[in-house]
Amino acid sequence: MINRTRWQISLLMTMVFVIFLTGASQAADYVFPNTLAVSLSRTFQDTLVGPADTIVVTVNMSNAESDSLRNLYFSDHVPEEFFDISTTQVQVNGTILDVSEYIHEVGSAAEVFAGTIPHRWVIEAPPDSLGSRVWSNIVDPLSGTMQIVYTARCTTGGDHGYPSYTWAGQLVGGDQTELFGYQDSVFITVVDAPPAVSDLATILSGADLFLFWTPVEHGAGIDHYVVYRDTVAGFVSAGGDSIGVTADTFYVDPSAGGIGDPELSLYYLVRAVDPTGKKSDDSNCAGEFDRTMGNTK
Amino acid sequence: MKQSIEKSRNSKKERQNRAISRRRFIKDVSAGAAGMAVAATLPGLARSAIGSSKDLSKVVIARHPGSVLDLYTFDQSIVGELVNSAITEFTGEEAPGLAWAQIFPDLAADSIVGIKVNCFNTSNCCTHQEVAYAVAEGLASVPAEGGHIPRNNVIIWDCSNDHLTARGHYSIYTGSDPDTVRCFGTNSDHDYSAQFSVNGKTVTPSLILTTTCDYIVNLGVLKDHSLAGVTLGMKNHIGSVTPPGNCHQIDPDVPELNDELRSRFQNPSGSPKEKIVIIDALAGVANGGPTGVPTFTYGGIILGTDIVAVDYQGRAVLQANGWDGWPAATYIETADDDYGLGTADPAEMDVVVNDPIAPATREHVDKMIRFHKEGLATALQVEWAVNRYARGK
Repeated sequence: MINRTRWQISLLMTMVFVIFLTGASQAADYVFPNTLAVSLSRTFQDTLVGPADTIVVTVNMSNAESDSLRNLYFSDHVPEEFFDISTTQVQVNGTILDVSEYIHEVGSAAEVFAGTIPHRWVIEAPPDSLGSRVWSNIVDPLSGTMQIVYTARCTTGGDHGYPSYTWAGQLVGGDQTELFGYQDSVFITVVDAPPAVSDLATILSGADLFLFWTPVEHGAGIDHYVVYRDTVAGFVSAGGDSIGVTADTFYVDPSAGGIGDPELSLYYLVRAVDPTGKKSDDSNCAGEFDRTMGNTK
Repeated sequence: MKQSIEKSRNSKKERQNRAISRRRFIKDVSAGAAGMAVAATLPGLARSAIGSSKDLSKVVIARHPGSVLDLYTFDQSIVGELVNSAITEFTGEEAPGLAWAQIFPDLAADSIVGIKVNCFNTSNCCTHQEVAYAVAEGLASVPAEGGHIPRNNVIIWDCSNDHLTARGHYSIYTGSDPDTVRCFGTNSDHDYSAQFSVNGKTVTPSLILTTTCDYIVNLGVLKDHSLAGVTLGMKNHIGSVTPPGNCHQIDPDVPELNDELRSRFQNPSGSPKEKIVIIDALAGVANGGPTGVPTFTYGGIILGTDIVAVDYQGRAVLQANGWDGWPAATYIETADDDYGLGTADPAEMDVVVNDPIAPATREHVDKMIRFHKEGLATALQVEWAVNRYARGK
């Protein structure tokens, strides 16, 4: 695993200047030569994910030059902790390629960047000694496109650095031009679901019911809490009504309505939600109930 | 005073003492280039610390058949990769910028590096531009003070503009565009204040060598020579002084000349300006030299820091490709025996032959892209790798 500290030390030792783009889903690509109308971007559906999530990565390339783009391959240097890397789709000029029409090859650990394993999608392989090509997908001139979508998973918490992607190809026309590009680093943060609130309590505040609890500590932070209410003791949130959300650690239920009514008891629980939308388990159940004190002579 | 210095230099005992210490220095540098830089900085300790197996002069011979299209035409991308491969093999550093930095550890952003080429041949077998510019690109990849040395701080040079253009087909450039390598001859710009004697005959060195440049790359060519036997690295320096005829008692003039140049002209750090010797062995003249037509293709680069060992290996390549062995080029042995400029004993050499160099895989290209991202390879060097990969070579 590459944690952020180890990553930074490694890069400093090799005199590398890296722009950290934590949380960014997309960054500008360096293309050489940079005057050409060829662009490539890599997008993460989310850079803050949970261990059960599928990470979706989309690579888009466009060629607005008047020459064909050939001998193209794309390499993603995937953190070693990632697994189940699977190609969802490869398109060239809008046509989806069959799996037999491209190569998805896997390099060895630390082959190019420490702590990563290269995954390469070969769109067009170079000719062999007889001039034959195993794969021949040419990105069209003027409006050609190439897209790769792949998925991955990671259950190891923490920040995982994608040091860069790299790609290379050639514009083949009147003057052959070698092209290559790369992107700055992106970190994918894998976080567990937030812990549950354990000390939900209620008090009466006039005619309102006041709920409060201790803030939940969570590495990714808490975005808000969801409050649930039901009339059955021990209910679970899946079966209860969500009556509101709050970014605070208290909630006032002004419409409880059942206070003082022995026929109606109200029970509450809350769930913490982190910035990725992951919810904690249910909190303890707290509530309001009224009882009639009768004379049973 | 000058007379007494000359007398001292001509003392055989003095020469032999210098020979021993210089040979030791060369071997230490060579071992350092193999990854023992720390030991190499402590010459007194280096030999015991490194051990006998490392106490050898390393020479790298890198070849690729695709570098040569015919006797006169070469593939710049593959030649560029050949030079990168040779220097990275020699130093053990994968990144070109770090590899060249190991040869020029004190290179500063304002350092001037001269690449002494040999453009004497009149039949299109001078130091080929494809090699000279690949070396210049290697120098441009060296990190220096937060950036790189401008290409304009690299000078490809020989005795005259005429030789460079009419024989070597180089274009003269004396402008100041930071991204353009300069190229010009000594012409009449000799350093008369730095005259010295070669076996009693006075020669005047080029101002480019004595004053303009802080460091020198000796980039010779692979040729037969009617007077010398062969012309490779050491003899290349006859073009660094005038009149060249004053060095034509080849043995011992050539080693004497090289000895004087090393002793007299040093870089700002106090060591000889010449840091590496490279033989452009893309094509060679096995007979009919020095002006005759190329007679064979070799597709190679021979490289090292021990000029005698490099010349020894270059002569062996010529011999294997039709050189008749006459004259015998005994100045190479004299350079070892009497001047200690290096070793002419193959038992004291660590010769690495990569024939051919490893193919350009996607892994290689990815690494070169990474090095560019890290400022340790130029864009052109990456292009060469991409091109070689795309050609399946």
